[in-house]
Amino acid sequence: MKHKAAQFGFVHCLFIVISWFAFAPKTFSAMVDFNLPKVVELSVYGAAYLSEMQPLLDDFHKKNPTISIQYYPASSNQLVRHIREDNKPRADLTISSVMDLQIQLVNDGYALPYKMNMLSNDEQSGIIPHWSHWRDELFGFSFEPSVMVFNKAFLAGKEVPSDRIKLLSFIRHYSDQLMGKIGVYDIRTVGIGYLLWSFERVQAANNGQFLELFNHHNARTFESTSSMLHALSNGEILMAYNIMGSYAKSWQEKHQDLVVVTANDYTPVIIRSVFINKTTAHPKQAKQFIDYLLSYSGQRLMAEKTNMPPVRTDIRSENSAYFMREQYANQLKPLPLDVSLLIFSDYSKKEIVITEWENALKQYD
Amino acid sequence: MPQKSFSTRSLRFQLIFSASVLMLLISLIALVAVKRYAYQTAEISYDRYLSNSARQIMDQVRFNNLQFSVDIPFSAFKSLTNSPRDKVYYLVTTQGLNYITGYQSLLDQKEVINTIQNYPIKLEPEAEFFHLKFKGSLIRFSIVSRAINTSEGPKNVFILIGQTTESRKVWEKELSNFAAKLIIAFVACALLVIIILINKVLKSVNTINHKIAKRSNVDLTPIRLDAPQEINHLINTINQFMTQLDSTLTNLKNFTSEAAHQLNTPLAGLRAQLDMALNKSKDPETLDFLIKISSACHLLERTILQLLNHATIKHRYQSIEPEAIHINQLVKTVCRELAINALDQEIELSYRDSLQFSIQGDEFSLSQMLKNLIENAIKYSSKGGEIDVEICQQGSKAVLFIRDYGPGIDATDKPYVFERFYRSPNANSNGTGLGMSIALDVARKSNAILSLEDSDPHGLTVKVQFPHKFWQAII
Amino acid sequence: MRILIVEDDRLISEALESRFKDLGHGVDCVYDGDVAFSMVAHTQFDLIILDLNLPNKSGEQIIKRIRQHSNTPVLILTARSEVYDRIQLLDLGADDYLSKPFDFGELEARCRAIVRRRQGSDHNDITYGDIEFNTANCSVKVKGDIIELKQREYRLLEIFITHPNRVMSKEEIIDHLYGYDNPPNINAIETYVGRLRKAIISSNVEIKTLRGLGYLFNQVEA
Repeated sequence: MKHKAAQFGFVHCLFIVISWFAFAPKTFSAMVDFNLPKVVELSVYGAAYLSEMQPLLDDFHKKNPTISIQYYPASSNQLVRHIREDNKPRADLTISSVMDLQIQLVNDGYALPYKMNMLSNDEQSGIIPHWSHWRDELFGFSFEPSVMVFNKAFLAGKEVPSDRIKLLSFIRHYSDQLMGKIGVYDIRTVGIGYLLWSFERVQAANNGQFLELFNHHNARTFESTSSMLHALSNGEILMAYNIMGSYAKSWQEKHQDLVVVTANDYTPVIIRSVFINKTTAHPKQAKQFIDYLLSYSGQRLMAEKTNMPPVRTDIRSENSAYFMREQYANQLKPLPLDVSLLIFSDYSKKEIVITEWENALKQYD
Repeated sequence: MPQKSFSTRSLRFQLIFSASVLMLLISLIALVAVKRYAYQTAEISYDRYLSNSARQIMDQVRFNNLQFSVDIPFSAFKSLTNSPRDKVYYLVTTQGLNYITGYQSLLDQKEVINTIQNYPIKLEPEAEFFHLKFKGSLIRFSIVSRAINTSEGPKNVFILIGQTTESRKVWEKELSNFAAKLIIAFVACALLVIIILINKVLKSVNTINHKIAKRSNVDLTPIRLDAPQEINHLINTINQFMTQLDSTLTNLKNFTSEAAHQLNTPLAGLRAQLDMALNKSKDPETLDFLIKISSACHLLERTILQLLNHATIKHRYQSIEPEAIHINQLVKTVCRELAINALDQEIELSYRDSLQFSIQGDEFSLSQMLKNLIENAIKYSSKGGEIDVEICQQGSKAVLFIRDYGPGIDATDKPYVFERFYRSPNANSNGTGLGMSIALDVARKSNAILSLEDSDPHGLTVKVQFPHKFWQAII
Repeated sequence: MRILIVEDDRLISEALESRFKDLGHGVDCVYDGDVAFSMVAHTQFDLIILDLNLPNKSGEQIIKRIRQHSNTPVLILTARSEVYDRIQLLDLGADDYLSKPFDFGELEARCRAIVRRRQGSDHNDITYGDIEFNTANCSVKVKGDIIELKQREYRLLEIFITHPNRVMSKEEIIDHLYGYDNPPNINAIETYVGRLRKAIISSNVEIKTLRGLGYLFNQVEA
């Protein structure tokens, strides 16, 4: 009798143990690999140049050796398509400076909510400014102005236009030299270009004049910031209007052949943001990345090693949002990181703006 | 132990409990009302934002080049940022469900289709509102419509704009919280006020209680108290009862007094004549009868005396204030009075004490008790015997011993001794049977314990013990 | 003696009258308060026996009237059981009281005592048993023979003889002996009593010590 019971008990236990292993592979592998920490790979999709992001990625990896980041640069439109069509490899995090598209993606439910301790902690909640994030789902981490860039040689001896009105008269004055030498984003394909343009259309009064001038001077359109900067560098164009200041500054630091100007009367500011994709397989690690991007050390690094001014209010160097907002309060026009940007992704609006722009600029490329 | 029913618990408890329950009920109702109100005001405010946005968009709907176009103004969505966390979904479409701009997937929603198709055609249609579950959240939509001139005549264009309801909920919560705080504060104050008022009312009751308790139990004078009307009624009723009781006692006293007179006078006459007859009679036979009559007469006298004494004692305890009685002195006085009688029967009374004490009591009653006890002792002592009277302290009690060394009382008789008119079969026939029961009555009323023991080697010891609360030592 | 009996109950007053007359006293009976009132005003009595509950006039009023005119000893008879009435009356001037029904022997003894007490100041001779006590020349005779007594013992004997058939406590004796000046120690009384006892050892009157209670001046039956 006892013998049988023991046998039965043993078989029973065995059954439990086996089924546990069968249904909990992770546990099993964890038990086997208990000596090696697992390395998680995060896929970060970014409509941002790797060059700008690299210092951050390196620093993050140094601080979190068990997380390796696979960075996939893409245009903003590619990004949107990748996410909406749920293409593989799936993104764990999405970084972009095209704010309206980010807002739309989050509005449409593609972001994973993450209640950061820092935001809900009353004591600390002033450090991450309220205007830099939306809904605990979209997190802005840098505050980048849009600028006018000139070929340095071209500007030699000339008075640098410090605001848009002066720019208008500058273009008129040097009309001959600038014929076919003005560069703008192709707003049909460059997300940031479209955003900046349609925002200006709302904000600035002399939008129409610029359109006319661009038309008159056969302004050239470019598919990317880097191509525009290249063209500026080798003199194909002599000025570029409304370009991402971060890249322009980085280029200027590197090549010293450009002049970057922020307009006194109107400088739009873009917030570069990140969200965790809802479909991520590694939410914990993704959150760690976000924590890093908004951490003091991460943002310090941003201020020192990149041209992305950090948003944290406890970093106040010249290359910081806090400094800029204090010093240039009059001229800065930051784009709001909220639902009002949905307008710009509106189908009908887009048609109207693009049609208007297309009509104004004949393609000379 | 049976649980007290609600109505027998203290008044304070009842009142406070009822008030609390009522307050709780009121505050719950108020909270629910506030929540509803908050919800409604939130709805009204935020709905207005929605319909305004919709109208602003509507203002920009154009029909150009055979198609509709909308240049949504920045301000249209700006006002929606009053709800900073809420997502926004919108749609611009025609009556025929042709997509113009916005979220196309809204056109697939049955509710949307129904609303558009059932929208009333009026000159200036008002905005309508409805809820819809969309993209996993509950969205509050506003719909406006307008007839836009097209190449094919006026066509109705519909604009739906909706938001998630987070801000409304936050508003509701904030308002509810604020109201809750207010209600709690109010309820707390109200309860406080109620408790204070209850205490005030009960204080009046307590004051009466206190006043009555402070009185001695013979004071039946009316209570004087300035109190609220209802309490005054109570006081008046109490006073009425006391007056009645007082008059009953007075009647009893008067009756007793009257009875004494009416009984004693003829008795005295009887006695007087009997004594004379005894004195003057020469005939032995008549003398014999007279002696027997005299003896019966004596018994009658003593019985009446005891009965009247008992009645007097009883009513004295209801009507006379107890005063401090020095027991030792009283005992000695009674002893001295009775010592002569005792000596006539060659019984020697002696007294000693090791404690001087006083009690609160009535001198007349106490002296009756002592008389009865000592007379009893004298009666039951044998000729030439002694009676020891002793006062001492035992533990915390002051004790009076009256010891005789006569035949004593049998154990079988002892329990019955205190019954009225009990005559032990062993007793001599002179007793009235009342003495001990009177003594017991007085002892009880004086908070003393009366008990019987046997003397050594034989005889009865009467023990009167006063517990420590009821006596005071005299230095 | 001339005795006035004020008692409205015939049975009692007849008996009393007969009794006292047998003892050789002159007795007048009245049955009414008003009559008593006028009697008292005009005639001197040696003793008045007064019933408290008379028709027409209350005992209080009669005593007051008596006291207005004389120091005649008054003994009250009462049938009611109220204690305080009696005490009030003693305060008003009655000498003693007795409640009905009463024993004649007791009544007589008390009458004698109160008469003696009153007489103490006027008359010179008090006898008890075989002791003669003369206040005028301060002499004491036992069985007719004079005995010598010190002042203290004399005073002590006076107290005893004026309070016969009563147990006298030591405190009471001291009160009577000394009044307010220098009361001696209680134990001194024992000494004096002892001496007095010795002095009257041949008498038929003894001073009995009742332990804890006091002394009894008592005639011993032969």
